[in-house]
Order: sequence, then structure tokens, then C-alpha cells
Amino acid sequence: MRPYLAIIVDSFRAAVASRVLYIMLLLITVLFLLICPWNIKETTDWKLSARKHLTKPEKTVERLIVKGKSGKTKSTSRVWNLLSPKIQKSLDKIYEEVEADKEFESDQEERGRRRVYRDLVEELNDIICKRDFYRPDDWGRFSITAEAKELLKDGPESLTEDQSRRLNRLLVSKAVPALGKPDGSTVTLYYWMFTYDPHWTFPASRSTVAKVFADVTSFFFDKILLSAGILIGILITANIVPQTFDPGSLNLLLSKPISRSGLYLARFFGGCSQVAICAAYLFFGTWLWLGLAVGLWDQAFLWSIPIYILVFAIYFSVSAFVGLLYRSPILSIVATVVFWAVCYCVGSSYVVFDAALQNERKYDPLVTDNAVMAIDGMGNGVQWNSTGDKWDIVAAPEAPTGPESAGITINQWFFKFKMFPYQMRPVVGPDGKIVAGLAFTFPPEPNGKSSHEAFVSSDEDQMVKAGDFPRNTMSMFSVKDGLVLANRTGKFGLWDPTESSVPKTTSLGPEDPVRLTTTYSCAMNSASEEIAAHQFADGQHSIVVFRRDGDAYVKDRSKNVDIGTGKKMKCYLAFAGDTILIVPGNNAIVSLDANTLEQHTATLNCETSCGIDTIATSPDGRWIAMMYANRNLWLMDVTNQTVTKASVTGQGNVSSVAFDPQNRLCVIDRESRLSVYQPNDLAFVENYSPSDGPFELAYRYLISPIYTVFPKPGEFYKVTSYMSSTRDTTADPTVDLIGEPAEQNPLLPLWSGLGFMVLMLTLSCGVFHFKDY
Amino acid sequence: MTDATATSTSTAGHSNSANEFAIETKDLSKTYSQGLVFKQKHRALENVSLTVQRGEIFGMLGPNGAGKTTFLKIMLGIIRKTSGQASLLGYAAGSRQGRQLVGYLPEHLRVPAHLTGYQALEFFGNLSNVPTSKVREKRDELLETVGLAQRAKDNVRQYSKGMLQRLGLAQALLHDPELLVLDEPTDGLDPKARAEMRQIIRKLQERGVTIFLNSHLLQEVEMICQRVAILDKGILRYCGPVDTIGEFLGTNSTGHGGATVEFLLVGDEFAIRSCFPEPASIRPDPANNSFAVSIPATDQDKVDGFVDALRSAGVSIIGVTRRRVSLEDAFLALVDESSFKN
Repeated sequence: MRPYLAIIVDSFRAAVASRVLYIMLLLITVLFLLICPWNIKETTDWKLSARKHLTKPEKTVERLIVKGKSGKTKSTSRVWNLLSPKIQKSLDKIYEEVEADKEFESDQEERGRRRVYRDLVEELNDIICKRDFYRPDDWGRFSITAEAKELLKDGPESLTEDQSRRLNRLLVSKAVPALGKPDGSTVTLYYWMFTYDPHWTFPASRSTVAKVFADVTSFFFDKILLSAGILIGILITANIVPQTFDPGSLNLLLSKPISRSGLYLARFFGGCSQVAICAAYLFFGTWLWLGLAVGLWDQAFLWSIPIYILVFAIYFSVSAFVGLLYRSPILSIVATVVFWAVCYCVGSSYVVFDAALQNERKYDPLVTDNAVMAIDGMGNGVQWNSTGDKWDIVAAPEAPTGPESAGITINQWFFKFKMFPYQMRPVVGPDGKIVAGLAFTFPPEPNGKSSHEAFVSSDEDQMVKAGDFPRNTMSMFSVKDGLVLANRTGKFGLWDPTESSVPKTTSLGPEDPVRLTTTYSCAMNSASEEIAAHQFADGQHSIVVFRRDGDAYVKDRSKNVDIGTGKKMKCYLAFAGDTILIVPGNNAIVSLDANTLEQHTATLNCETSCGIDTIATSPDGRWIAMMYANRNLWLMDVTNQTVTKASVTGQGNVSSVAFDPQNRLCVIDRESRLSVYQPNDLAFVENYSPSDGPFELAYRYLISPIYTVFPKPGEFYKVTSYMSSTRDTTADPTVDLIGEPAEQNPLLPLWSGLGFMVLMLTLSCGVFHFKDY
Repeated sequence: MTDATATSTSTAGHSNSANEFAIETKDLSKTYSQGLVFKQKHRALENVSLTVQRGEIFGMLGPNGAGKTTFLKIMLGIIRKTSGQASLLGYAAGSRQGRQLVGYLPEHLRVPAHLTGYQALEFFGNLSNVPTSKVREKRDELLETVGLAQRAKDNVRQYSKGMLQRLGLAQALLHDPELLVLDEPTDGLDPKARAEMRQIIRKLQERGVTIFLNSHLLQEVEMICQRVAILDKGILRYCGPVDTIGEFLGTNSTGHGGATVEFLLVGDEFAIRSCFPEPASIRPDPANNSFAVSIPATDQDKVDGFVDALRSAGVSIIGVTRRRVSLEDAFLALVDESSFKN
């Protein structure tokens, strides 16, 4: 190792001897000198200001006179009595004038009143500063706030001056409510010892503001400083490898008893030393500043040092390789810039292609005897065309046709997803032929309301608009005599499409409904037509089962369940056979006996770190499929109470899952391929897969693989954010992951970057090893 | 050469002592290829077979492009041979074990400009796997030996070319090599420094170090080398002792050179001419009324025959000298004229 260490040490010596390094360090120092004076001062809010707190002066005066002067309220009276006689007299006068609705006769009169208000605020502040202001008899036990109680825990005499003022401020607010409640703590931003305005404060804690500082600094470093820094780094290191290949130095180096690969690698890592010195100085200094100035001692911030050295090393591996081949610093720089441009293009292409293909993605498959249907990313109903092997948009006769039929842009579509319970999936009607579909109009209709439109398949294989669903419809279930619609308030309605083409419902109750939070927060047992719903109240999660009794649903049974947290959390429900499955946002899986609502003893677990996205139950009640936000599919065998990761093609890229009337598992993957499996052995039955167009082919076989293996220097901020994140969501049962995007492997940029660098270094070592010099 | 350099034990390990040669090649060839598709080939070495004895000072000569540097680079592992065999101190040429035992002073040495003399020795010593502590023990004496002691702490960017050569020699000696390869070692040195360099080389030889000298300076080589090899266009023209190169040329089919005897005669020109067959060169010297005759004569019997004939013809023999063939003569005789045109 000695020879290789000598080369690295030599690189350090070269770096130390380099003027460029000193210039870089000087620039960083200047930056520190510029940012270091920024600091924040946190103060507990106690002071009253006329501008901020005396917004309703008449009410304040009224309170002081009516409740204080008269002695009706002890606390207000205490304040009144501490005011000076002069102010008391002035306030009396103002109160009389206000009561008499007297108008100002002159500007002088108006100015005089404002002066009284200012004096009042000043005297109130003096009162707040009095240590003996608080007298227990004046404030009842229940009339002070929790914060005041906490301050008084050890007696008023034990308080610091600041705490005493805070207490008095709280007491004054209680005595004179019109003055408003004080802020918790406020933060003032200072540049050295100057601030724009001492009153220009943020009602936030020091740690919150410090985090904002850290985020702004990270953004500034990532997007501006490091781009420039890496470019400068490439410029100053471009000569390192070509210089090594100067015959006078190379021949001597090669005559030494060292391996060529070792020599190259030592030169490479030595070359990173200059940047390492700068990065260490920059990030350590910033970390120190964040700690000293704003009190944020986040050690994870220091991960930025190795991570950004790696970013530089990725670029430098390209620069060094070109330097090895052509021994030209200029070519090294040009090649590195070209490489950066290629990285940028690959990343941008991937984002564009991926976003475009999201529109093609199919969801909510529905396989019936006479149709295979789904909904695409634009919200259109689509039907499989077996003749053309493609998905056709099912046109609604009443709606305009063509791409504009949805009438929305991509951004609006995204917005739509955010706004509406899109997951409400189509179902097969009671006659086995009718398909009830859903679509949402967006933007809202002229009357300002958005509607949930119902479409029903006609005999002509067309989706006919049947009208609007009742507002706030959340879920739809097929029963023997029609369709049960559940709305947000937990009320159920029955719509029989054979009777009424318009979705008019007959109320089914229940009398004591349960509010629904998501479309999956209630589930129906298709055999018994019972509906189970999740409820959260008073820190307790419970399951309520409604039994259908003729034309009404009645609450049959309920029980509290332990999902690992007493906090509010969304839960997905499945009701299959004698089992009710609860999948809450914290990824616990709770299986209940549907009859007793007792929890099954088997421990069920899906090893996933993201929330559930879709849950589906087979009509025979034996299988429950769970798709998570990371597009992985898990299957539960209700009979055995076991959960396994389904071995279907496209795991990791599954869009949606459902069961057909024959209890077969229907899985959509790869945007628009629908595959059908037997759930017991996951034997493949058939698939509906449109042939890929040039766009899909380019994405699947070119853009996506290249993007996966290609370095992503522009995405390393994700790695630093991940490293800096102290929140371990997977281990925290109080964190609700439902609706949160799945983390797309935050370390992927790290691995792909490392992989690319290793590849470049291997290639370079190979060339160096076999080349004659 | 100081005692420290001569007596210190080798830190580099030991050579394969079963092999009596420091360098041995057999049918060594090297062909360079250029271009990716339409490769142009250039044969730099062609079946070169030679040996360098342990402990000798061996010189390699040849015009530009003769293949000297190629030969050196193959031995040091800087390039790879195309065919043939080559070994260095008993190890395959270019192997790490072999290189461990070699000290090398390249022709155009470049030392990182940010280093001082001391730091450069530490750097190159570490590259030869010599611990820094050991380098520090030896560096003062080595720099004293090469005459750089006063400038040891100076930055090498302040060094002249000659000083860099001295530093290069010092670094080559740091790990007590068994074989010292010097490529144009006196290049850039003043006459005094050259003499010192020759002295160092001789002392190193006395301590058993094999010296392989690659130089353009024929007189330099002639003065210190025991054996030489002459390369021309990648072909080995001669390999043997410097002293017997004349004999080699005498038996050479070219007929030029060889051992020449010069007579200084006084007498009748006709009689003189009748005593010598072709290709004798007879040059009259009217000023001294004498004749200078040069004639190739490789053995003494022939010379005695000329003396007898001259005496019989009444010619006075003023002087007889046998002129030895210089290395330069031999070099010029062996190397094809076309080489110089290049």
C-alpha cells in the first residue's frame, strides 16, 4: 500500500501547493463571512403593541370599564386598578363618548384618543413587567390557560423575568380578551446585530426557522454553488491525469514495482483530494454556522461531504478516462461537459416519457363475460378491442368525443386525483351484464359544482351517460337488487339501474352512520351484503358492521380494534367470507373474525415501507389482494390467513388489481397490460396486452434502462435529504402512509453513480493496463 | 560513491541469484501497431538476443530509432514484447519482482514541481516501497554523493537540468538496486559533473551493481563500459567487449576497419609499393621525405612479413604502429548509413 499512499499523499501536497486551491478556499471563506452574520433570536412573546394588539380599542375599553372598574370580574379589575388615575379618567371619557355614539369634532380630538390608546398599551406593558401582578385570588383555577398553569407549577416566585412577563401577558389576555392571545414564541432575523424591523418577527420556534435555514442552504448549495463548484473542480483537476502521462514522469512511475491499476486509482482518488478539501471546508463550516447561529446541530448534514465528493468523482472518472486516452486537458473538460449534458438529457427524457406514459396507464380492471374494461390515466373509460388488440376509449353518446372528451389537461387531471375519490371503481350490475362506470367532470360545471357522472353500458356496447351520482358518493357495491352507493357521511342508498336509468337512490339508512374517510374505509361482503366500516372517535379505532334488513341497513355489531396507534389514521377494509381485513396507514395488518369481530391470532405482515393503494376481494370471499404505493402486489388467502407476495409478472410495476366474477386475479402492469391469473397457484390464464408503439418501445427498452444504470448527479439532493431525514416512517406506527408517494429508492442515484464510476474506473484501468507507453 | 551507499543492505529484496545474467534476451521482438482499423505496423526490435553479466557495465548504442528505448521499456515493463524471451535478474522482464531490484534514471526526468529535493526522494522512495524512515536515514548521504546536499530543501522547480539528473540518480539508488538502468545519465551535465558521474558508476560497479547504460555519447560508453551492444533498425549488430570490437570487424564481411598497421618509411617509392599488396594506403610526405603506409593486418606473421620485405628492399623503417579501431569507427562501420539519413 505504501506506493499508492505515496501517490495520494503527493496529490494532497500538490493540492496544498496549488494556488487554485487557496483561491477556492478564499472564496468559500468570503461566502462564510457573508452568511455568518445571519442569526436568529428567539423570544417568548409578551409585549403588547398598539398596532398589533389594540385592533379593537373600543372593546378593550368597554371591558375595562364594564368588568374592571365595576369589579364584576376580578382579573379585569386587577388590571384596571393598576392603571394610573390619568388613564382611568381618559378611558372613562372615551367609554362615555363611545356609548353616546359621539363623533369626533376635530382631528385633534381623534389624535388625542389615539394618544390615550398608546398610553394604555404602555401602561399595560408596565403592568406585565410587574412581578407581583399575579394574585391567585384574582384568577380562578380554571380561568387560566394550560401554559399559565405550567408556568405557575412551581410558584410565581420561581419564574425568571422572561417567564414572569410571559405569565402576566397570558393573564392580561385572559382579563382583557380583546387584546388577543400572545404568540407562542417569535423569531427575529438578524444580520449581525441589525434587523430590518424588530417587530418583523416570525411566529415560529427557533428549531422551525433553523430547519428553514437548513433547507434554503441545502437548496442553494445543491442548485447553485455545487454546480459551479463541480465545474471549477473539473477545470482544476483536468490536468492531473494527462500530466501523469508525461513520458518523463510516466516511464519512471511505470518502472517502479507498483501495479498500473493501483497507480491510476491512486492518482484518481488523489485528484479528488482537492475537491475533498473544499467540500469538507464548505460543509463543515456551514454545519458549524447552522449550529452556532441558528442552533441546528444536524450531524446528518455532514453526509453532504462524502456525497458531493462522489458527485464530483463521477464527473472526474469521465474526465480522467478521456485524459488517459488522449492526454489532453482540453478534451477532458469538453468530454465532461458533454457527459453532463448527456446526463441531463437522459434524466429529462425519462421524466417526459414517464409522465406521458402515466396517461396511458390503466386502472380498475373489470372483466365480465362480454367486456374487458378499465379506466385510463386521463379518467376515460376504456374497453379492450380484441380485433385490434388495443384499448379503445369508450365513448359516451352524450359527451363530446375525441381527446377533448375528458375536457381536462394533465395538470387538471393531476389536480382531479388530488380532489376526488377516484378509486371508486366500476362494478358489474346485478344482471351480470350492466356495467356501471364512473367519470368525473372537470373543470367544474358552470354552476360551480363538480359532479360524479354515472355511465351504464348499453346493448350497443356503448357507455351511456346515466346522470350524476348523488353528491359525496364514496363507494359503490353490487347487490342482488341493484347497486348500493355509500356517501361520505356513511349513508347508504340503493339504485336499481334496471328500473331507473338515472342514478336515483332509495335510502337504506343506517340511522347511526359512520363517517367514511376513503372509498376503501367501508367494504361489503358480497355474499351476505353486510357492510363493514371503519370509525375513529375519542382515540379509538373501531369496526362497525351493518346488516341489511330488507330496505334498510342497521348497525349490527361493533368493536374497538387495536391497529397499533391511538391517533387518527386512514384504514382500508376488505370483507371476505368470515374475515374483515383492516390495513391501516401504518402498514399493520389486522384480521378480524367477521362474526365476533375478534382479532385473529395469525401475524400478518407485508414487508413494505409505503402505504396501501388498492384493496380488492374475490367474489367467493377467499382472496384479498393488496396493492401498495410501491406497485407491489400481495395476496391474502383468507382460508389459511396467510399473506404472500404474489408471483405475477410486472411485480413492482403493477397499476391496479381486481377480481373477475370467476374469482380470477386481474392485474394491470406495464401501463396497460392486463393479465389474468388463477389465484390459488397464480397460473397464468390470459392477458390483454396491446402491442407497444415506438414511444413505449423507446421508453421500455432504451430510456428506462439507460436511466436506471446511468448516473444521476442532479438527483443526489434526494440522497442527502434521505440521509438528513430523521423520520423513520416505517418504524413509527403513528405515521399514516396512505396517500404518500412511495419513495423511489432514494439511494438509487447513489448506487447508479457508484456503479457508473466503478465501470469507468475499471475501463480506465483496463486501458491503462494493456496500453503501451 | 559513499560507504553508506555501497554497504547498506538491499531493501528491495534479492534477485534470483541462480541466474548469472542481469539481463538476458532471446529472439526478443517488438512490433508497434498504429491505427484502429487499418493498422500500420512498425517493427522496433527484431530477434534481439543478448546477455548482460551481473556486475558489469554494459552500454547500449544505436542511432535514433534503433530500438534502444524500446528494449529498455520492455525490460522495465513499460511496454510489452511481441515475441521472444526476456528476463531481468532472473525474473520475467517487466515483472514486479524484477522491477523491485532495478533503479532507473529516465532520459527526460520530470519531478513534480511542488516537491523539494527531500520530498522527491521520499516520494520516489515510497514508490519503490522504501519506508519513509529509511529514506530519511539515507537521503542526506545520497544527496551528498550526487552533489545536491546544499539544495536538498529547495523546491525542484528551482533545479537546473543537471541537478534534476543528479536527483534522478539519487532516487534510483534509494532502494539499493542490483541493476541500475541509466538512460543518457550525463545529458545536461557539465564536464566536471560527467566525470563525477563516471566515478559514481565505477564505484557502484565495484560494489557489485550491474550498470546498463543507454547513451549517445560513444566516448562516454567507451570509457566506462566493458561490453556494448549496438542496435540498428531493431537489429542487434554487435554485442561483446569494447576491446574486441575491432577483431569482430576484421572478420566482418564488409572488409572495412579491422586491425590496421601503420608504417613510417624512408626509401624508394617503387620499392615501398612493391612490398605492400592492395588495399594498402601509401601516402607520401614530401616535407619529411617519407611515406606513411596503412594496411589491414590482423595477425603478427603478416606484419613480420612486411618488415622482412621492406628490409630486403632497402627501405628504412622509421616506425611501426598498430592502430586500434575506436568505438566510433566501429559504430559508424556497423550502423547502416541509411540510419543516419533518418
